[in-house]
Amino acid sequence: MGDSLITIVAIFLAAILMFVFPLMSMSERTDDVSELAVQTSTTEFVDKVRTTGKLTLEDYDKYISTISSTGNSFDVDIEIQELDENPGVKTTQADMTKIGENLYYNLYTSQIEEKLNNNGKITLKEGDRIGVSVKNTNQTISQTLKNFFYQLAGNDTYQIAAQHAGIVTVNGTK
Amino acid sequence: MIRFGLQTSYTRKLQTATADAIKSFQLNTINNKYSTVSDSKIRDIEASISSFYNSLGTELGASGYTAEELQSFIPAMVYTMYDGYYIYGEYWNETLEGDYKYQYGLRPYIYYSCRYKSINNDFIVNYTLDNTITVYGIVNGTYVTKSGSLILTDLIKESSIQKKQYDYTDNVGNQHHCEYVVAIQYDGITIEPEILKEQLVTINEDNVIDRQEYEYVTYSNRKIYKDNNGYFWNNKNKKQYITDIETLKFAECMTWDGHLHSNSGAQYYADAYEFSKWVNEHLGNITQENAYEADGVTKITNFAITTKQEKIFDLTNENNNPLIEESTFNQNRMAVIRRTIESNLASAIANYGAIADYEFEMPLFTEEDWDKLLNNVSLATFMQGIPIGTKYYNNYCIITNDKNKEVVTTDSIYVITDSNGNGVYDLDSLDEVHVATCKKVIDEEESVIAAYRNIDFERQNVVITEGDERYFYPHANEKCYHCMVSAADNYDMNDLIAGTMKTYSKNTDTYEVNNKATNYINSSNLRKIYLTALAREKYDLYKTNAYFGT
Repeated sequence: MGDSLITIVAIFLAAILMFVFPLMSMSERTDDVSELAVQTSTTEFVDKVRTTGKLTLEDYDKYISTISSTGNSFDVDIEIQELDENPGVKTTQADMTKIGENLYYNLYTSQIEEKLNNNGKITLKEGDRIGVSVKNTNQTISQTLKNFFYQLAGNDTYQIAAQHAGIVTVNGTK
Repeated sequence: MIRFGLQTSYTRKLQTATADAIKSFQLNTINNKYSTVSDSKIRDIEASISSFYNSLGTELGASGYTAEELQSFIPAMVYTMYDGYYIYGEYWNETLEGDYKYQYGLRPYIYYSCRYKSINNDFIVNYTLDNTITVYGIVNGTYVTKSGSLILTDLIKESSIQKKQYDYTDNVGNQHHCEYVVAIQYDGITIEPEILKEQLVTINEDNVIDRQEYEYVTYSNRKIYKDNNGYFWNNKNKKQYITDIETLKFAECMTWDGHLHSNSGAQYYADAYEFSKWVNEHLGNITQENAYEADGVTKITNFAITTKQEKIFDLTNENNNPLIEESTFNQNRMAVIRRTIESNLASAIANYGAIADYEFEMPLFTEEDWDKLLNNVSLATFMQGIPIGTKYYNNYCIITNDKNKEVVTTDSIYVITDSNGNGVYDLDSLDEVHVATCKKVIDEEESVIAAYRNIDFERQNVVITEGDERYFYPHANEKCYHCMVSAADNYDMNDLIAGTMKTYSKNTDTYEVNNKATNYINSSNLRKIYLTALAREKYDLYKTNAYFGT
C-alpha cells in the first residue's frame, strides 16, 4: 500500500519534471522572443517619427499589426509632448541669460488616435518629444503556468513590455 | 538575441549623434554672419563632424570604443548643400609621407550636375535644391555660362515691369545714374517693394549695449541697416557706417517717404523671367534622352525617375511649373541629384577598406529618405562593420537640417498676422507668427502683414566680452498655437503657390477645391506677401545670381 502511494507520488513528480517544467521554460522563451520583437518594432516606430517629424496612420497601423503578430494583445500608450517656446521668447528679451524656460503640452493615446483617424497624420516639430510604452494585456501561457505554481495574483502583472522615447529631430512637412 | 538588442542600440546612438551634428551645424551657421562664404562653411562642417564623433564616442564610451576607433566604422558622412554636397571620409593624399597615404577629411565639393548633348549643344546643367540652375558649355554653338531661377514665363506680364530711376551725387560731386526694378506682376499678383525690419543688438564705443529695431535691405548678400545717422553694416555687433559708393547709391535709391525699401522680390522675378526666356529659347527641346555621362559618350539610361520625351526646360508648358514638385523639371532635378549622390557615395563607401575582414557597401535608401535628401540640406551618416553576434552592423541615418543659411525652401517662409489690429507689423508685440498655410489664418481670414525666413525667428547670441553672452530674437513674436506650437494639419504649400487651395475629403479620398480658402488667399495679402518673401529671401541668399548675363 505504502509503496503504491510513493509510486503515484513519484509518477506525479516525474510528470511535472518531464512535462510541465520544459513547458514553462519553453513558454518563457516564447515570451522573451515576443518581447524582443516588440522592443525592436517599438524602437523602430519611435525612431521613424523622430527622424521624419511625422506620425502617420499607416505607420501606426503597421506598428500595431507587427506587435500583434506575436499572438498577444497589447495596451499601447503613446505620449507626445509639444514644445511651446513662446514663454521663453516673451520673458527673456535682450538680456536673456537663461535657457530652458519652455513649456510642453501633452497629447495622449486617445487624442492621438482621434487626430490620426481624422487627418491620417500628425506632424511634429523639432524639439517635441514622443514616447511609446507597450505591455501585454492577455495572459500568456507562461503567465498562466506561473500563476498556477507560484500563486501570483493581481491584474497588473505583465510579461511582455517595451518602451522607447526621444526628441523629434526635424520639422515634419506635408 | 544579443544581436537584435545591439542593433537597435547602435542605430539609436547613430541617430542621436547625427542629430547632434545637425544641431551644431545649425547653431554655428545661425550665429555666423559669414556662413555662406565657402571657407567659413567648411569650418562649420568640420565643427559639426567633430561633434558627431564626440557624441558617438560619449555614447559608446560604455561599450569601450573611443572616437578614434569609431572612425574605422564610419565609412562616410554626406553633407548635402544647396548646389552640391561634401563627402567626409577617407581619401588618398599623395603629399603624405609613408606608404599608407589615406587620410580622413572632406573630399572636394561635388555639384549636382548632368551633361546634356544634342546637335549644336553640349553643356552641363548644375541643379540645386530649388528652381535655380547654372548652365555652362556650348549652347547653339557658342560657349555660355548662365545662372538663374526658372519660372513659367507666361506667368509674368512683361508690361508690368516698373523701374525706378535715380540720380545720385557722391561726396566728390560725381553724378551717378541708376535704375532698379521695383515692381512686377507674377501670376496675377503685383510684387512691390516692401519695408523690412528686425531687431539688432549693437555695442557702441563705450561698450553700451543697445537693442533696437532697424529697417534693412540686403545688397550683395549683406544687410544694410538704416538709422538716423545714415546706413550701416553690422560688423561684429558694431555699427559700421557705409562709405562705399555702389552700396550707398542703392540704399539711397531705395529710400523714399523716410523708409528703406527692399526690391529683392521684384528683382528676383525680373531676373528669373529674363533667364527663363533664354532657357526656353535655347534649351527648350532638351529631354532626358539627351543626358550623357560626364565622358560625353555613354547615354544615361538608369535615372530613378524617367520622363522620356518630356521637355525638361520647356517653361511655356503650364504643367511644368518649376516651383511645383511634380513638374518635369523637378522630376529631372531629383533624378540627377539622386544619381550623382548614389554613384559617388557608393564608390566612396566601397573603396573604404580600413578593416580587412569586412567589406563596406552602401545600404539601400528608402524612398522616404531620398525625399529628405533631395529637398533639403541634410546629413547622412553611415556606420558599418561593428561585430554584433555572428554578423556585422550596417545601417545609416539621414536627418534634414531645416534651419540653415543654405537654401530657402517653400516651407521656410513664416508669415506674421496683424493680431493686435494696428495695421503695421510690430516686432515685439502680439502679432503672431504662422506657417504660410496655417489653417487658422486661412479659415478665419486673418490679416497677414509680413513674412520672413524661419531662421530670422531663431534666437541669436551676441558675445559682449568673454563670458558675457547675451541673446536676442531678431523677431520676438509669439508663435501660433495652431500651426507652430502644435504642428497640426495645414493646407498644402504647393496649392498656395499655385493659387488654388484644396482640402482632403475623407469620404471620397480625394482633394477637392476649397472655394472659400482659394478666394481668401487671392483676395487678401497672404499669397502676395508669401510669394514676395519667398522671392526676396532667395534673391538675398544666393550668390549664383551674380553670374547672370555673362
